[in-house]
Amino acid sequence: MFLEQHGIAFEEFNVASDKAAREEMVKKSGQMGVPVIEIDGDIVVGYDEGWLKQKLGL
Amino acid sequence: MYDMIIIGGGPAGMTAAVYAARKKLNTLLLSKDLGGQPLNTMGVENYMGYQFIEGPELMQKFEAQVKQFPIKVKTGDGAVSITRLDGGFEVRTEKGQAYQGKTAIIATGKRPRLLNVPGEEQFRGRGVTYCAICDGPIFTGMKVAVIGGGNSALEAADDMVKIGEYVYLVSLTPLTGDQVLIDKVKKAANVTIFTEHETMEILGNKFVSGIKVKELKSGEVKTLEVGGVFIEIGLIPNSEVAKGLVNLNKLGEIEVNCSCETGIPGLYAAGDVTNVPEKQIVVAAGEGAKAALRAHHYLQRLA
Repeated sequence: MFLEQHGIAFEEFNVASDKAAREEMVKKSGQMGVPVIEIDGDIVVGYDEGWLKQKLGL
Repeated sequence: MYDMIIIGGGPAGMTAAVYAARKKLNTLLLSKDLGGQPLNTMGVENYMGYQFIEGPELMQKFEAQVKQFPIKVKTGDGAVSITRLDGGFEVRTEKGQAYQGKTAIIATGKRPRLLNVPGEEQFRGRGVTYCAICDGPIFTGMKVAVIGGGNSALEAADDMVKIGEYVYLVSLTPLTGDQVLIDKVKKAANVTIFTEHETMEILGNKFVSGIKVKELKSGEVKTLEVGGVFIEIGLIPNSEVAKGLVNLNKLGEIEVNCSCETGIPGLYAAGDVTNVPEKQIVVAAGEGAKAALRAHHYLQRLA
């Protein structure tokens, strides 16, 4: 929603149905909570609008 | 000084904000997030106007409605204290900010109750979760434990028997939820129910690998191998912010009258943090509206 509003391209993985994506998420974030967002190799757990804005220079 | 500071951005707080804006009150909405508990609710089928809507989507609609008004919204920072000032209140936040308002509405909602056992904090987000609805699918195909004996625990167990490999339902008391739900869970082939069992410890290395439970009668301790632990033992009100200032009932809820008044002129509370009898989105929204209108009334008399 936020990303769409700002015209940011992204790829969405459903970790409930996609086992490979789930394993990748757990490996990268070291935890099992969702959502996990990765921007240029940096990871944030949870929906943190402040972090997104800063990361994306919005 | 603001006319009104609303603390909390769930259904009660956001509805209060809309009502305040329509009365042209200079309003600040202060909250950790916008949406509150419905963000963790998959399907809502009893908020009027929608036959079915997902909790987060409903809250996005609330947010859009708030943001069409000139309301100052500050998120990512929760209130830690409210004190009385001359002519109003001062609200201090986690990040050390201070805001002043002629009136304040506390709409801080509830949060999951903790089990308070070793391993709980360490493995939070690493197998320990308080929201089966949001995190359940991550545990697809795994053995999990659900802790609790009420409706939330039974609903979590019912969800997990469908997508998990095996479910242990561990309750300190006999099951207290609705009989319909109890029957449904008992019917599943891949569930074991341990009632009158205390959860002693959550075990693991990097992630959860099991739990230790003790049967109350015999004192027998068992280790159950699970990759996920769903803690569903109820909710506690986020009323700490008002402690010492207003009356709390024995559940820790802020006591209000039917106009959302706390007993301190200019200070109101609304929604799940209060002693209002039903905790529902539609009720919380209605309470938020009542609190804002009452505060407006109070401000009119001040002027």
